[in-house]
Formats: sequence, C-alpha cells, structure tokens
Amino acid sequence: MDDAPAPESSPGSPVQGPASAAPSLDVLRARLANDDTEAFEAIFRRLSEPVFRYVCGMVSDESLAHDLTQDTFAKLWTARDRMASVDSLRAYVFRMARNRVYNQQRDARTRRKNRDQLREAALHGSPPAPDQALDADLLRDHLQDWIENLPDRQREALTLRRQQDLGHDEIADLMDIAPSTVNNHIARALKQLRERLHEHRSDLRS
Amino acid sequence: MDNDTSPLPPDLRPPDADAEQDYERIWAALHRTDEARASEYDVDAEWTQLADRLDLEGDAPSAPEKPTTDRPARPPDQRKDARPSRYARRLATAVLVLCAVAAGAWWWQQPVSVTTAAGERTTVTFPDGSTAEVNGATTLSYNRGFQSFPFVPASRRRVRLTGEAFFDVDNAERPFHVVTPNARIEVLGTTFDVRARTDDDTPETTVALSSGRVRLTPTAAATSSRSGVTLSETGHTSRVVADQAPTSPETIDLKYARAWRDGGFAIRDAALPTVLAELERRFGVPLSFRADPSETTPMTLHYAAEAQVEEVLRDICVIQGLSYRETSQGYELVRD
Repeated sequence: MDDAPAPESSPGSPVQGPASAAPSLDVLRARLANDDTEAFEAIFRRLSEPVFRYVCGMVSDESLAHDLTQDTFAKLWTARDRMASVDSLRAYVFRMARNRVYNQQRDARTRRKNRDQLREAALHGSPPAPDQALDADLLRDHLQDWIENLPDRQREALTLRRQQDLGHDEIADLMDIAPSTVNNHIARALKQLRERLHEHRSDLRS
Repeated sequence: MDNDTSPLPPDLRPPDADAEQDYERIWAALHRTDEARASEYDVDAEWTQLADRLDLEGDAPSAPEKPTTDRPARPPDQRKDARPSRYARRLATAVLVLCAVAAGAWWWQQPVSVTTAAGERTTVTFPDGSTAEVNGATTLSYNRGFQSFPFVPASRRRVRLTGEAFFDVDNAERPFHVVTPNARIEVLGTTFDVRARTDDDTPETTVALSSGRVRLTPTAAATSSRSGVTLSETGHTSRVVADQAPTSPETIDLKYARAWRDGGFAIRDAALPTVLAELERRFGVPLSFRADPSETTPMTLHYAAEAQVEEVLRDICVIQGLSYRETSQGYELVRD
C-alpha cells in the first residue's frame, strides 16, 4: 500500500477569482442584456468549463455533459433580455445547468436503471485482478464508479464544493438547502467513499 | 485556471487522523479527475459549436484574437528555459500585429444598424440588392457588406430583426438568414413578412410568406432539420413563441400581412391589449386602456390603405362597447 503522492499545499495558493484585467461577470451580464455577443462569448469562456465539470460530476457521461452544457448556454442566450433582473450571473447559469441535469435525469431514470443492472453484472463477472496496485489512476477510475452510486444530493454537494469560484452560500442556495447541510452531505459522501476504499483494499488483499 | 494542489478544506476534516489521510487522498483523486476534465475541455471548439448553433457572428473572426490569452499559463518551474529578450520582443511584435488585426476585424464586425421610430416606415437596401420594407418601432442590423472580413463574403447573409419587416431577397444561392430574438428564418429566394415581438417577456416571431420558400426554426433548437418548419405556399404563416417548436403552416389571406406596407393596418384574431400595442407601433401614438381586458373579445381588423388611428379606435370601440377620448399625449379607451 504505497501512498499516493499527496500534494502539498503551497501557502498562498488559494488565490480566488480570475485575472483582474477581465471585466467582471456583472459587467458582462449587463452587456449580455444588450445583445452583446462578445460579452456572451466572454461569459462562455469564463463559465462553460466549470459548468461542464459540474455537469460531468452529475451525469457521468461526457458527451451528454457536453450537450447539457451547450444547452445551458444556448438557453442563456435566448433568455438574455431577462438578464437585467438577475442578481448573480454565475448562480443563474449554474441553476440553469442544474435544471437541465435534473430534467435529464428524470427522463433517463429508467434507462439508468437498466444500465445499473448491466454494470452490476459486469462487476460480479470480473473481480479486481490481484496485481491491480492501488495506484492513483486506479483509485480515480474506481472513484468514478463509487461516486456514480452516491445519492444525487451527496454527489452534487461534493461536485459543487470543488468549484473554485462557488461560495458555500451559493452552493446552499443552488441546492435549496441550509449552508450547514451542504457539509453534512459532503461528509457523508466522503465517509461512504472511504468505506468503499477500505472494501476495495481488503478485496485486493484476499 | 490551474490549481494543481487543492488540499481538503479544513471544515471537511474528519475527527480521526487515520480517516483524514484517506480523505486527503480521495479529495486529491477527485481533484485530478476535475483537472483531467478541465484539460480535455476545448473551450474554443465548444464556443465555435455554440456560436454556430445560435447563429451568432464570429464563426471565424473571433478566433484569431483569442488564442494567445486562452492557453493556460506555463507552470513556474518551466520558465527557466524560456529564451529571453529577442524572443520576447518578437512575441510582443506578433501580439501587437494580432491586436491591430483583431481591432480592424472588430471594427469591421460592427453591424450596420437601422432603427425606425414608432409610426415611421422606411425601406432598406442590403449590399446584395435585397430589400426590406421596415415597419415602425423596428431595429434591423447586418454585417458590413454581408462580409465576414473585408473582401471575404460571409458564408451566409444574416440580418437581425426585432420588430416587423417585409423582405424581398435576391439571389438564393447564398443563404440568407433573418435572426429574431427567439427564432431563425432561412430564406430560400423569396418575399415574406417577419414580425418579431418581445412584449410580456415572451418573444414571439411570426412569418408570412408571399413567394418562394423559407424555413423557420427556434433559436434554441440545435439543428434546423429537426424542429424547423418550411413555408412553401403563398399565404403560409407560422409562429414561434419563446423557444417552442413553430406552429404548423396555416394559410392566411396575405392582405393582413401586407396592409402596413400600403399605409393600412391589419391584425388577425388578437386580444385587445395586443391590438393596442400594434397600433402604438404602427402610428406612434401612446394608447392606454382602462378596463378589464378579460371583458373584451379577440378581434380581426383590416384597413387596406391610409388608415387613421382615430378611425381604427372608433371601430374598436363599436366592436368592444368602449369609448375613447384624446389625452395630452395620445388616446385612452374606457368602458362607459
């Protein structure tokens, strides 16, 4: 059991926020309301990748995540004349992405059930090979599986918490829960993931 | 945006040290996944795809000004072997030239815009000889010369419209698109009327075809093949409300679509507030209504030519059992 190279945190690393020269999201939001395509492009360049990562964390199918991200921004463009009354553009965009994710999941619930059964079968069919060292990449691959089996809310809190630019309160607001509950979800998720990690280790030993 | 180190946030630390080590590793692994996804995400390609889908300009032009800024910063430890000044100077020159080109492209990209006041009508002739008769309270804009760069014809002629205009499009070989806040009309050589309204926060686009063929698609739709509707017969009309699919083609008497162009006024089966909003645009006169709109009935009006606002108001009052009076700015409708 060798340690993954746990990265050391450099002291001043968590510098938040984008380069100071770029216009703020608030300025871009106002310009977007005036049909400014350049502002729209700047917003897309700033937010689409974080949104994509969030959606990825939720749907775990990358091509679907690409589509949902595109849909989110297409909708932002068609709703641009309503931007004047929006408080936080980032929260608004994430909320739209979230709606798309949840709608999609509702539509795909039956499909996912089928897929889960398939995966279950696949897992039972091929137990982990003994020479699979628990190296960082393998941990990552397994993590994906484990995360997909977390309850939606836990997975969502865990995914959102890793977004650099989203504050704790913004996450709570987005998920419609109290700020303290956000961490409860994450703590439960981490606990479960750790349990899976231990199961996995004992599988390897036996 | 690369943070290659992201420790477990302190408020998520578990009580015992053993678990803490596992949590740190899980967190670090999650972070690597995020980074892998972030590095696979090609924002330029995604933007091109989105811009194309939404029919925004800048299919080509915005690309050259961006790439230098969007590459992730080089990690500090690789900086030692960077060649110093000469290389830097060349780079600076290259960046300056790029900026100049980008600025020129930006200027060229600024659309030509035509706006009419309420009550006003005008005719616009586009660079390719196509024309549009423009109704009141309308804004219409298009790229300089229908070119994406100087001397480079754009792949399609694109006109943005809020309000109402009647288009007569020449030369069907190059695609001609009319883009409204919620829909897109692809023209296949033809004459047609477009009315794009954004009252009540719900954008609505109505197209009435005089001749030729056009295709109407909501902006939010990914491709025009799936959710568009083709109008191919004289008098065909279809409407897109917000981002719903277009209504299936319905044949109307074209006199309703053309009345405004002859100085008349027409509207089909519309609620009174809608009729009044259209009258305001057509005549440039503020109209107010002091009664419950639900007590009025939908109405159809047609004035072939030289309509006067008072004449229309008088008829509306007869139909709806209202009366009107002149105010300091315009007219007011009241129930007796």
